[in-house]
Amino acid sequence: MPSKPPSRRTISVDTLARVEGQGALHLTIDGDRVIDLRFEIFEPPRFFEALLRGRHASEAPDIVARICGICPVAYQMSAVHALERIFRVEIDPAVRMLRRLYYCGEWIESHALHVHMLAAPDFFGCDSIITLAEKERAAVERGLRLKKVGNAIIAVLGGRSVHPVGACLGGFTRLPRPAEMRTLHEQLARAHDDAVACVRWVAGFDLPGQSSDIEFVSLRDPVEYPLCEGRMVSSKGLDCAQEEFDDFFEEHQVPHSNALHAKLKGRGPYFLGPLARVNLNFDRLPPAVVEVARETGIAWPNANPYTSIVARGLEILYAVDEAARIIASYQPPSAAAAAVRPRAGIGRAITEAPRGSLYHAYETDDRGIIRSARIVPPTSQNQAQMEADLRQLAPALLRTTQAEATRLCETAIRNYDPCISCATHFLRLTVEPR
Amino acid sequence: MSLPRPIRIVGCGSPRGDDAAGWAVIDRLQDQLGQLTAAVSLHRAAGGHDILELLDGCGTLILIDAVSSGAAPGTIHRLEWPSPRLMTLRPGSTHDLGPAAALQLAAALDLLPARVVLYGLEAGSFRSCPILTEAMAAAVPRLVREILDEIGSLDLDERRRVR
Repeated sequence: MPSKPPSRRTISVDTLARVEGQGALHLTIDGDRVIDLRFEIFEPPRFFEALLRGRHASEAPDIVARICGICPVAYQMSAVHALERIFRVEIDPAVRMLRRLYYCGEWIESHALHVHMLAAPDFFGCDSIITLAEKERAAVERGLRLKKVGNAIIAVLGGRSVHPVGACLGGFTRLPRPAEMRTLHEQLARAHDDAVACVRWVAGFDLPGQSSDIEFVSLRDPVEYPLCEGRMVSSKGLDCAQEEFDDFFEEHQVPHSNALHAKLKGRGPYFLGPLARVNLNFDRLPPAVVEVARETGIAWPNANPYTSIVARGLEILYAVDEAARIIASYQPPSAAAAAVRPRAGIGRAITEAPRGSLYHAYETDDRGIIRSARIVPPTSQNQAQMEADLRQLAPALLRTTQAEATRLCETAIRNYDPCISCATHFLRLTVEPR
Repeated sequence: MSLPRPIRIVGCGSPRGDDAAGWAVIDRLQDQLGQLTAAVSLHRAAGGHDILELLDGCGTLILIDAVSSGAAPGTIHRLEWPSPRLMTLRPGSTHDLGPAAALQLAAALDLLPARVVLYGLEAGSFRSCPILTEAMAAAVPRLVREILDEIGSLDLDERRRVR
């Protein structure tokens, strides 16, 4: 006769494994009731918004690239779009396509890293990519090849793959050379098959089932799969301009996190990232990607957060094919960057970071000096939804071992590919005068 | 006649305090490698992913990184793969694959060159600072001499092997 599960259990994961940055989880369950749940982000705040104040707008792309070693392009792109709105900069269509290519590079390297090194070990009983390599050698080699292609794109346009320096207001500091573009195109042509194989591999994982009443949110563009443009839409009818972010979303502090939580005003938590984008933009994916998505046998749109890893795989494939398409039709612009004339004003922009919508807002004076900066990264916005998912998981945690319960919680958190280091620069420090 | 397989010397680090020691060693070696005949190349790496990309066709890999083991600052450690200390080394960052983890992954994928040497330079401080601590600054030229001796003997071995 099976032993009766304990009615009360506390699960404490002091340092979450295989997430980017440092966080912890504390969960106490009594019966079927969660009486305490804290996804703790204890990394110290980094005050990037304060660092930006007083600096010239032209310095912003290099400063914000330092926020994250995995998704610097996203920070650069949200910053330049917001600031260019203030300065009314006209971007050459060819430069716009180069930015799209640059962003594809980041999606490929970031998603390939997460799928193979952080998430996949969960599904093979492995604790790291090193032990996974012993069981799934071909897949790990493929993942490393894909990551390398993504890094190569960022290095060509950004000068280097980590903390790149090539993006600037108006465009890039230099244009790619034809030989560099040819080499990238050859690498991308080879990467297509790897990306298809990656989708098939992750779709074959024994993914847990969870149906939730989730509000998915992402950008949606009239024509393209969203990267840098579009309106913010949701699976429950939200449809707002990027500039209206503060009218519909609000941030709030919780005692246990150094990153602000966020919610949709009057509604609650929401879900950002690849699964949200695929769910809300499936009709914007090219036929070749749709065909591979259908082959997986998974219904799209899909409300199970565990299918995020498949959505991430589909976005690797999308980004590989989109990058190859952009290079094949590339005609160099007349200048690497448009002229920029500073103005006073307020600019806001959202772009789709690998982990979801990344909001930046700036105020500048007439010399282009940044007077205020606000950055709302996807991981901080996803925290409340992560906690909601963990609450739903709670009953299952009572019926298993401590080690397995920890693994289940970490797997649920990894659906969001949280980048904790990105999220932790939001602590509002109040100094009380004496 | 087969060509000698290249020796790659990789300094790992960042611009922060003594973590820059690996890069400082590479910069000093740059000026002193003219007299060597074997194919020696020098690289700066930020993390394990960079190392993985340097393994293709490599005969000998020499890695240099700042370490924190509790020894006196400036102490030079020398480890050769496979070493239990390298297999169990804890990663210093959750954001990237550390050098030891990169070696473990490369070993699992049969990508490691025939010879891998890791020089660890005991750090005095990892605080964000544009210069090395005194102890580390003194250790850098000592390690450069040691590496030059090491690749000099490797070079001789290699020439004998090729002949």
